Amino acid sequence: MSVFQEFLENSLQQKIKQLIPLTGGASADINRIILANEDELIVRRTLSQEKSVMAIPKILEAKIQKVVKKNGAPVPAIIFEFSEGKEIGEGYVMEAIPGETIPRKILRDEKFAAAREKLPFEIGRSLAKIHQTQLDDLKALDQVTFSDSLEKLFQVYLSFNQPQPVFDLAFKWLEAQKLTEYGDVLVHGDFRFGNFIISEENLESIIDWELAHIGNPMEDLGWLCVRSWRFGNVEKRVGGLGDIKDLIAGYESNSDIKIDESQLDIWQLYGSLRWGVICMMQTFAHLSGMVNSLEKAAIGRRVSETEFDLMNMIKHKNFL
Amino acid sequence: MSVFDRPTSKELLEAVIDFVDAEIKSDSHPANKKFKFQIVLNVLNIVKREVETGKEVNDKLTKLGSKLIGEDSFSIEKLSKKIRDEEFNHEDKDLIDFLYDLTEEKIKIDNPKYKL
Repeated sequence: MSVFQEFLENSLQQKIKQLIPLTGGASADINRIILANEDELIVRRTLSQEKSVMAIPKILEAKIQKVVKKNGAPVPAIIFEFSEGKEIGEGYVMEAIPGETIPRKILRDEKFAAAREKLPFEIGRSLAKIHQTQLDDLKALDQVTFSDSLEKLFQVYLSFNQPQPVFDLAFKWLEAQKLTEYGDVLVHGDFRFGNFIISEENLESIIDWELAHIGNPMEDLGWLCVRSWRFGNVEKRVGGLGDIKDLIAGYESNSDIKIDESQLDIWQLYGSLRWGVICMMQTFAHLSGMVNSLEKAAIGRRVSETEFDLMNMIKHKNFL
Repeated sequence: MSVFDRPTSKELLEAVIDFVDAEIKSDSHPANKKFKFQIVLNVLNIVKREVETGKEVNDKLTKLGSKLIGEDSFSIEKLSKKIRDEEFNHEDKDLIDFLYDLTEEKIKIDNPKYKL
């Protein structure tokens, strides 16, 4: 038995039948725990001692989930947190919410047809709840303004020393926009399909909080609308699933914030640029020799998809 | 005219593409292997399209780029620098048209199905 499994069994005071590795966030090791009595839990941890450039510490992730849950937003309950040596790492165990996260299945399988109808509204409603989280208990989170985000992204882009004129234009375009301040809120940071657990009835849970920060509420809404998460259903702006009007109606039904669609357009454009730079980051991890990966090499040629989206938005004002 | 024998580089690529495609369609691999083969197939198709039309596209865009920046020699690096240095305004119609054409040509090579 591994040291980690032994640690989990001692902490849970229960025998574990199986630990199943799951694919997950960039800086998380995630396993499904099958207990001897067949109950299931999820453990998320980080093994690296180094602070991640992008992700927040796992202990802070757990704290956010606790605060958000107390406020009534759908997130898995935290069972316990741990911060141990390098073999076990830092992380937390949470309840395993039954449901599907794979976007293509949610978008196409017949059994999700009823849920699909209401998801854009429900996702908007839940996001509004998240954005109302009291920030007093989350002072450890970074506060990130739009210009901070843009500058940080530009520096990452420059670090690859591979000029992309479309990205340069997009940075200039974004710098010229007038952003509406809605007041600081808790931003999920990676609010999109893949991080939603969906049942046949509804949205069950929002997971993967490793990019959370304090910032503008429109960031989460814009990111959700980026074309890269539509999986072929291009004309459906909300994750390939539904209309922007339903998302906004859901959000506004639960919030005092009134959404100006032109602000959402700006944040969607920022989202496409951000995804383009993340694609570069992945491909340069391969090109620099840090890892040897076919997937990471291939993703470099997906940068042109984000360039195509950016130019459609800039030239044709086409956000579909 | 080429000093190299047939099969040409394009014909060699096509033979590999056909092989990988047949492997994906067969029942002899688990889903995760098929997924990897699919990535291999996508990459080979990018290379094939670039071998077929890359030079022509490059020549066309270099000519258009030279006209845009008003210089005999054009490079992507030069254009990026001019945008960063604000020699072009972010609303410049000629710049936007050129970059739109550039992305259209790139997407035709990288993922032609992506275009609306």
